[in-house]
Amino acid sequence: MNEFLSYALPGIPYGCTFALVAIGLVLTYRATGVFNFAFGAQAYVAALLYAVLTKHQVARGLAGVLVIVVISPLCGVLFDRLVFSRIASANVAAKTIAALGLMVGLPALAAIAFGPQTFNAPPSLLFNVNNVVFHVVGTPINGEQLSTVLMTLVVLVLLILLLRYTTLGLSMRAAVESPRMLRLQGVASGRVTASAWALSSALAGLAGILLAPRYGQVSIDNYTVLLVGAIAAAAVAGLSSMGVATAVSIFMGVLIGVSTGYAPSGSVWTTGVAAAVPFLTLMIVLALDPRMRRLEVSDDPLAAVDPPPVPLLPPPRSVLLDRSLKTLGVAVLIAAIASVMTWVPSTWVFALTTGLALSMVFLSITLMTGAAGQVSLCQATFAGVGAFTAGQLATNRGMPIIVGALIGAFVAAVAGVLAALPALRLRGLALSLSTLTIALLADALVFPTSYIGGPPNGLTVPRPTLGSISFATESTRPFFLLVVLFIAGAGFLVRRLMRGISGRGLEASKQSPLAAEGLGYNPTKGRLSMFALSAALAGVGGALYGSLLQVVGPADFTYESSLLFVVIVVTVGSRTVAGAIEAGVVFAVLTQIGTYLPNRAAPTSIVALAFAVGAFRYATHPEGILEEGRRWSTQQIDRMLGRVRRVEEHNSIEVNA
Amino acid sequence: MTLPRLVVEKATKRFGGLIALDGVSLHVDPGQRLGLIGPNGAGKTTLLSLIAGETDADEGDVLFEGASLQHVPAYQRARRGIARTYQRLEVFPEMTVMEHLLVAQSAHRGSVGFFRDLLGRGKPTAEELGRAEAVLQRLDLASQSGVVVGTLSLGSCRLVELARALVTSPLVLLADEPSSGLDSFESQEIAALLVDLSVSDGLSVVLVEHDMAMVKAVSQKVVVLDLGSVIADGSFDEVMAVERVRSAYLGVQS
Repeated sequence: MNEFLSYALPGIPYGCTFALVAIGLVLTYRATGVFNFAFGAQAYVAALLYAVLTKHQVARGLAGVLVIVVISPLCGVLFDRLVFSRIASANVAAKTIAALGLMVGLPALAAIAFGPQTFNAPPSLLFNVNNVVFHVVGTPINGEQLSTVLMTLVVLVLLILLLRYTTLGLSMRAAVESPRMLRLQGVASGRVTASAWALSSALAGLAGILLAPRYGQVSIDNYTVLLVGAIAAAAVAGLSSMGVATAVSIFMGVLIGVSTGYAPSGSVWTTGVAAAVPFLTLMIVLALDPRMRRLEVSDDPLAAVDPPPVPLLPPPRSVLLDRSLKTLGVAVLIAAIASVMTWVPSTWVFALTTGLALSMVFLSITLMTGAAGQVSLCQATFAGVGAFTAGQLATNRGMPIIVGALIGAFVAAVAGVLAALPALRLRGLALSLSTLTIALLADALVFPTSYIGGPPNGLTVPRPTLGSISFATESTRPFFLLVVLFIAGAGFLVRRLMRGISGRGLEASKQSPLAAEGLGYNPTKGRLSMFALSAALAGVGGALYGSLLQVVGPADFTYESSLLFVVIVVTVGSRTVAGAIEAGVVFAVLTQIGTYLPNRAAPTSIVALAFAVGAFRYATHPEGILEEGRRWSTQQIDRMLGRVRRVEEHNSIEVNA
Repeated sequence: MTLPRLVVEKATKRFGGLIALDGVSLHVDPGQRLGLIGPNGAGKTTLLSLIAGETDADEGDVLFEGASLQHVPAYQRARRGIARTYQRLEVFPEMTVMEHLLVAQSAHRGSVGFFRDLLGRGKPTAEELGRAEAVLQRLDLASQSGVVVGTLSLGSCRLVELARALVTSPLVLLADEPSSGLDSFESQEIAALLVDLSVSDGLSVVLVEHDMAMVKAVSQKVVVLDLGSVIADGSFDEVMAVERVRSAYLGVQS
């Protein structure tokens, strides 16, 4: 019994660390209608600020109050005013993407502000970490554990009281259901939502500071790990009950504590179980709990009052302009490829090849997010599956890398189907949650194994050879051409799909799943084939990317890459094949320009931040910056030319002969 | 004797403690037009969802052309010839009217579009376009063929839903309040169209409607639901004469 307690008791404060974040997720969801993927990032930034302040000799009490009561709520209000209040309550995809933008942008902003320096764990706000406060049946309880448990319970009780028994709490819940209705009742719904954001951000600040002393250094990774457990607990609680979320968190903590305790020390089990328990919990809930299927359903009785989304018509162009622009486009493209093949400096050739290889992965996001309207957060994981398969087959079986890449695509497609299985009936938020968990699981358990992700110093993915032509020369130019061919072929096929029967089906299922099924579309088959195809594209892209780098490892295909990829594609343009390719090129060019900046300026973070901010515009401009710019410039040119004849693109539908 | 096209046998549906349908039975012959009326919350839309396969019955069965539809998913029922329109509009707001009809046809065919698309054969055929145009003509939508549906009025959206349901030449049409949002002239036109289709093409119609003029004009038989049970059936005039219908539905005190 004593042995059991010695494993179980430390599990309680461990579970409470999930619980703090889970409470935050449920609170934000109930009070603002947004599933705040960035809650962990907010907590991290708060912990960082607290660490910086205490390092500069600010008293820890003052620093804590400053961060929790002043800075965090202010940031929350800013997020609401600048981003979330501009998104219609029914637009779940836009809310998800905005939260992802925050999740990518906040750590990037912190890296820009504080540079590459690391911060050691700040002092505890309440009790000294290492002091053993008392013993329970022989198990020592230290100050950190005690304060975590105490604060979790205090926060839980206060928030339940607030939501249940105060007018503000009632207004918050009403504002999620229908802000318009609340306004008609004479309540300033904007202010209610802003205070909900302030409150949830303060909680993020508190969680961040409270948890910081647990870890050696203040690092975003610790908060991300918490996120999986927290998402699982919040999901079991149906994103509605903070009490249940807390109970589930503590239960998971104890379960992890006990099962690692009894497992033989040093076995895979001890590291694996901590990642697997929350993962399995979440997958079971997503697959079985009918509430998860209804997350999307908007209850706003006044939803129909919102004007319909502005349809995105192809820009009307005069025939002359259309032809000349297309000719010009082709000419520029040929000139660009010719330039890369001849005079462009080799660092830039490498950068552009990277961009094009990533375009292939981006194309999978075009299919998933642009065409089907679902936000998948494990596309980099699929890319990793492709790259590792190709690399392993080439290194250990001596297989030609091109064949390996194709097999990699197939294996990735299988992984895609597996990833889709728990998400078969899920849409929107629930699908994003399940794919994010898959990505995190792959990061924690699958990719670090040497027979998948390769040895610790990296897995070799050779450059291809075709007959007598070798692409392994010092110059990247021949390989660039190969990647161009690949992306041209894939782009051509995806374009055909998007404009054909499949595209129409995806479009229909996106805009009204009920009607699409009522017309005869098989949603299960549609979902599975879309995941398979999208994962296969990402797999080929990953293999090409790996072959370009020649050595890859798990760090190249993390969940963070997946998030960044989605944010990039959405910012540049997720609706067209051209958008995906342009996104790759733009990302490569910006990253390459960044290399000329000093390291102190954190150039990769600047690029990430730029795209994250771009993603905030998704609600108003889901077509992306390039498409938007193209439309605008076409209109301007058209106006200058005096409106010649219009091409009525959407009126003339081509017919099969 | 011909087989009834659609039979609902003692269908019961509960939502928690609420009994939405309590042992409802009805049948519709080929070419027959059935009016389904009852006060709000009587279970009319639930019954349509049950026939279309969006929800499963807790007890009872639905037979289509003599075969049980138990465990047949909604999309397969649609392909077999059950089409429906929705009380709460379910259009594709970013598609044009014509695209709605093309989507309906490719969905109905159910063939995998994937390889056809890859071979560049994914464009609509002349036959599909022709059929779509004929339906649009019939519903007076031809002039709006290229208009994006999100910009149309509620009434036009209803017509688009109807056109989308009819373009695949279904055997049964489940029409859920097609007249709401239409003016009385448009309602009359739709009523005439439904009668026309049932006579010429043998289309069976199940019409849920609050507009009594339309119910009367369309229905050969009327079934009255109240609180999940059938309280009367017969011709329009017959059910209107039933005391219980008048008190339950029309609120007339006897």
